[in-house]
Parts: sequence; C-alpha cells; structure tokens
Amino acid sequence: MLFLLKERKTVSTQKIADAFGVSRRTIRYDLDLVEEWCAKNQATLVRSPGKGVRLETATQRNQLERQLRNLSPQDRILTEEERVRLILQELIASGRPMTLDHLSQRIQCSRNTVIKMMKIVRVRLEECNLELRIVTGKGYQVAGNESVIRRLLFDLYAERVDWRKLAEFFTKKNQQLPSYLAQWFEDDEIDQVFSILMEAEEIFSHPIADVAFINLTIHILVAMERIRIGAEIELPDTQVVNTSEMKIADWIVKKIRADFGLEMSPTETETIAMHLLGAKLFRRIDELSETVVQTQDDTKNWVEEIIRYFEEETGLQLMDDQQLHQSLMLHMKTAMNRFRRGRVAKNPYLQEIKNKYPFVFQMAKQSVQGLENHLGRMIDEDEIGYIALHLRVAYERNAGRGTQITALVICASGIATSEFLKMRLESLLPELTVIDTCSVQDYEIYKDRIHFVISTLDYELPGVDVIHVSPFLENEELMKIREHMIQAAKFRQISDMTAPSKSENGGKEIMLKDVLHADVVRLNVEASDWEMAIREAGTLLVAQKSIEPAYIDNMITAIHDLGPYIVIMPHVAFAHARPDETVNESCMSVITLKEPVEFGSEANDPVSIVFAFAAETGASHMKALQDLAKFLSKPENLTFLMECEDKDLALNKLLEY
Amino acid sequence: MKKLKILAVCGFGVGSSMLLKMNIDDVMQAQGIRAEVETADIMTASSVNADLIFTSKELYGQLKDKVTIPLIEILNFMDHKEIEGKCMPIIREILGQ
Repeated sequence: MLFLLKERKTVSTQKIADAFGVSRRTIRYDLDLVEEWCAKNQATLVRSPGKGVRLETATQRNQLERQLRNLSPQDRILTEEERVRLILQELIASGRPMTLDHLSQRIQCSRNTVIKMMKIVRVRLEECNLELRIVTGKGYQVAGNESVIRRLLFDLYAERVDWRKLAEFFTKKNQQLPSYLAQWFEDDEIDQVFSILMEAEEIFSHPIADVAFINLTIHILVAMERIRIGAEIELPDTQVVNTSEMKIADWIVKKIRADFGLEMSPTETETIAMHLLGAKLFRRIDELSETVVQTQDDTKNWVEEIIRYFEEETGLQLMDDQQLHQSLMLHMKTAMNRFRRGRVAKNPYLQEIKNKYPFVFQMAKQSVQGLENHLGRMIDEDEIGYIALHLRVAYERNAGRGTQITALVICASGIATSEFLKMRLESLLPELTVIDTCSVQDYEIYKDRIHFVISTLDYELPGVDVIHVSPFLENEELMKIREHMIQAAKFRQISDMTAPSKSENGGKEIMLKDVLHADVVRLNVEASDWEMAIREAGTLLVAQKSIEPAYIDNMITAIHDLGPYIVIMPHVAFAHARPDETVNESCMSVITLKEPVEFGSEANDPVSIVFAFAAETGASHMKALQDLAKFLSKPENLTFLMECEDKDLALNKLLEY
Repeated sequence: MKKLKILAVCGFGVGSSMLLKMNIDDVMQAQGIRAEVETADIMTASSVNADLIFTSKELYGQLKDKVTIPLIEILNFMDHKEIEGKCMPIIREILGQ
C-alpha cells in the first residue's frame, strides 16, 4: 500500500510483483486484503483491467500513511522480530501454558512458523535468565524470577513506545491513545491508572517527570496484569520502608483496590515505592537537596567515601557540604540498587560530561573503585557520569573558597603557537585557568600568580614546574597536566596562605620559631606607660633591623587614632601597624612588664605582656600567628609568662606550639 | 546551608584581626557552620561585602555607623566562649534556624 501511495498513478500487478520479488498471484491475493482495508479507511483501490491498480484516498495521503504504520498485528504481515515479541508477550501475559496451535492463531501465522520462532524465543529468554518450559500435553510456558519476567514484559512494551508522543497524549487530554497501547491494555484501565497517579502527584505534592510517569504507569499495568494471573513478585525491598515514597505507594495500592478490586501485596507496594524512588532521578537536582533519605544499607558509607576521595584530591572541604551529601545520597540510593542488579541508567550527557569535566570525571571514576571491589563488578561510565555531575556542582559551589588552579603558557616562538595551545587547553581542561600567553621573558611578571608553567619548549625555570608539551597536546601530555592540577589542588590551601613574599624566605611560610628567639624576648621590663612599653618592644626589632624606627611611631599613632584595640585579651597587647616600607621583614618581639600599664582598654587592662609585630604584604606570617594563637588560648600560658624570670624558659614555652 | 561570609576587622587587617579570624574559624568549625572568615582593615571593612563583622570594642564605635550588617564587638579575641556566645544567636538568625 505504501508502494501504491507513493506511485500515485496506475501500476501494473507485474510491476508490483517485480518490486517485491514475488509472483503476480501473491500480489493479487494481497490486493484483495488491501481492498478490504481501504474500504474501512476512507480509501479506494481502483482496479483498471489490463492496466493495473491505483490507490485513491478521500483523506490526506500522509494521514493514510500514519494509519498504515499503526496497523494492528491482525491486519498485516509481521516481521520475524515482531513475531518473536508477540509470542513472548502472549506467553507471559497468558500465565498458562500455550500450545503451538493457540500461538499460531494468536499471531496469525502457520504452526511451522511458530516452531521456527520458538527457537529464537528460547534464546531470548535464556539471555535474561528465564526458561521456556514445555509442559507435556499443554504447551509452552515462561518460567523464572517474577521481577525479571516483569522487566522483560515492561521492556517489550517500552521498546515500542514513542515517548514524546505518549507524553503528548498524557499531557493533552482528549487526544487519542496510541493504538499500540490500546491493543496491549484495556483503554479505560490506562486512563484509570493514569488518573490515580495524577491524583497521587497532587495529594503528596510529589511531581514525577513525564518519562518516569509513563514508566510507572506501564509498570503498574504490567503488575496488575501479572497479579491477575496469580504471579506475585517475590523479592521484598526493605530499604524503602520508611521513605515518603512508601506512603505514596500505599495510597496508590489502596486506590487500585478500590477502583479495580485488585489486591496488591506489601511486596508489590514496595516495588511501586522503588519505582517512585527511581523516578527521582529525573527530577532536578535542587529539588532533590531538600529531601533526606533514610537508609538502612551501606549507601551512606559509600557516599562518604566518594566525597572523602574527592575532597582529598581537590583539597576542597566538602565533608560539611550538606547539599552534596544529600543529593549524592539520594542518587546513590537508587543507583546502588542498579549496581547490584547490573542495570544501567543511560546518561544522555555522558559525552558532554567527559568532554567538559574530564578532571572531575576521572576523579569520580577513581572514587568508586572501593565500591567496585565491594560489588565485584565495574560501574558503567553512564553511572559514573551522574556521580561526576554531583561532584562537579559541589566543586563549583566550593571552589570559590580558594584560588583557581592557574597555569602560564609560554612559547618562545611567539604568540601564534601559544594561542593555539591555550585554546586547546581551555577546551580540554576547562577547570584550568590559563592566565596569559607570553614569551619566556615575561615569566617574572606572572610567576607569583601561577601554579605551574606549560610550554612547548624544553627548558627549566627556577622555582616552578615546567610541563613540556606539543602544541597539539597529546593525550599523554594531557594526563601529565592533570596530575599537576591534582597536586596543585592538594597544596592549594597551604600555598594560598604562603602567598608571594618579598623576603629572602622566597615565599616560604614563617613559623613562630622563625621570628621568636632570645634577642627579641625581654622579661620584667620597666615601662611607665603604654607608649613606652611599645617602644621597648619595638626597639628589639629595630636592633635586628627588621623594622625602621618609624614603624614604632606608626604603632603608637595607630592607638592614638583607633583606640587601644590592640589589647586583644586581658593583660595582652599585640602592637602592630600597617605593612609598609618601614617593615624589612616579618618579625615579632615580646616583653613582659615589671609593673602593668594601662592602655585605656576598659575590658582588658592592665597589660603585662606586650607583643610588637610587623608583617610584610601578603600572608606569609599566617603560620606564626596560628602558633601564637594556640599559645594565647591557654590562660595558664599567660600566667606562666607573666611570672617567668628565665628568658630561655619563657622562649621554650612560647615555642611549644 | 548557606555559607556565611564573615569579616574580622582590625586597624590594618594583618595582625590582631588575623588572630581573631583564627579563633572565629575554630568556633565556626566547632559549631558546624560553613563560613569563610576574612580579615580587613577598618578603612575598607565597610565596603567589603559580608554577612557579619567582628571587631574590637574600640573599633566597634567607629564602625557601627558605617555598616548595615550585624557588627559584633569582641573584648577578648582569644576567648572562644565570648565569640560563640555573641555570634551564634545572630548567625542562627541569618541562617533562619
């Protein structure tokens, strides 16, 4: 008929027979069938004796074509694959053994054809661990695990579903149900299940994505079909017992009992809850974060292991990231079930994820190695892609805490190759910030802002790693850069604290023991007032040329201007001023006073311990201050210092931390 | 949970504010609050975008008319209890807990 529709004019039966490689007699028989069908579908087969036949339509030709595509099995010759599926469907749906005669009648072909098909059917069943059993005197039957049977039946239906059309049907009322669905299920039964789910969505304000919605509809219809023939699902799923999905499933089951008079067991209810949980995969991540899932299995541990791994590799602090925990938890909850059963949720974004976030993807892959060992099987890349997405979102949320990993691209031969390399890097490693391209002479300008250098030339630079690559960036070279990024990320937090310093220390972090020594500690100093106390402490630093005398004045001026805020705790003054040219190097001194002095601090006077401190621009003195903070946090240390008569003992105490 | 941005302010943003920052960090960690604590000098403090500012009693008076966000005065920079007692009610309010 499609052939005739396309031809539009009268065609001889010989020509048709040639086109299909069959005899004219076959065509004449077929034309009888065509004529019969046309009569019912607003078309006419016009036979012109001696010339041939022509198809005339009362409606649009394309409409007729559509009708032809949806021909029911009774009206057309089936392909081998269609026959196999129909047999499977019939066997599973009937629940009783079926004879060859019965089958040949149902799918409208000869006994011999059915016998031929049964061989393929058997192979198909064996592929999914099911058995084609022959019951003597009664015929064929499918035997095996009920949930596997249901999955097969579900797949048989789902394979032929045009999801987009079906979604249209479900969302726009008054549309005609796709004919293939109508022929599988009772028309009003679909409608009924559909409205039960709609109602559940509303009552529990639990939105279900379209695809999941249709999946769930088919699942319930399949379950109903199976329960009617007495097939019960065996595998209880205790993990869903306390979830909100279980409540929804309970409600759905009650409705089904009321509407269809069909009793569903608790195990069936749990299975519906599982599907509802699975449906969450399709929901938006930000919706997920609000839901907390109760788990009874070890999912939580695996989630934590993944996060811990990612945390270690990136240097980001993620263990307290509740959003990541919850979204990954929710994802893994259903994913773990898939992993255990060897099922895979296809990831439509897999390629994109791998291309855009190769770094995160690689880490996600490594983070599940423990889980893979535990499961005794590999986790599919599709699934890893999902985990990578969760990690990526967390990465973005948290990466702002530190600086990005930054590389400098250097090519001596000029801008062209380095620009090309930069473009390649940006597309292959979007996580890496390439701050500039320049010639080797410009390196000095950028050296404080970068983690490593990438270059097409073979040379070394002092104090920085140079990764040598070709402008085309081979895979191996890409791996090398990634390793450097992981290393840089690990040390990022430390290196942020030890940002560039102009001192001879060359950016090394300064510890308390680097600045405090016998020459900058004095005990029982006599000072008549706070100004003098600060001068006494500052003089020790001037003596070793760490600061210019002007810095002492600056410390005093600061208190005149801003108040005695430097008295940071009872009895302790921490004098300091702005980092400027009067500071030669980061330094600190400490004196204890014979007689306490008043700084004018209501809360913390009188002061017995005075520190003088000077910092260079940047934060290289962070560690020294951390050590000092630990010392000061213990009141007994202060008492000890105030009463101490021996400089070495005092110094030892100060450097204990 | 929202990540808080906290500012520790002293005269120059390098010395005592750094000590204060470390103690705030400790308190936030102990309380399980996600927070980023930065230091600033008094001149720039009012123009830095933050949720909460910590400073000393002396600088409190100079800052309070310049900022609209909660300002907390700390007498003893090293006292975790003082920091915790003064900031937690405000932080809970900010986080809507």
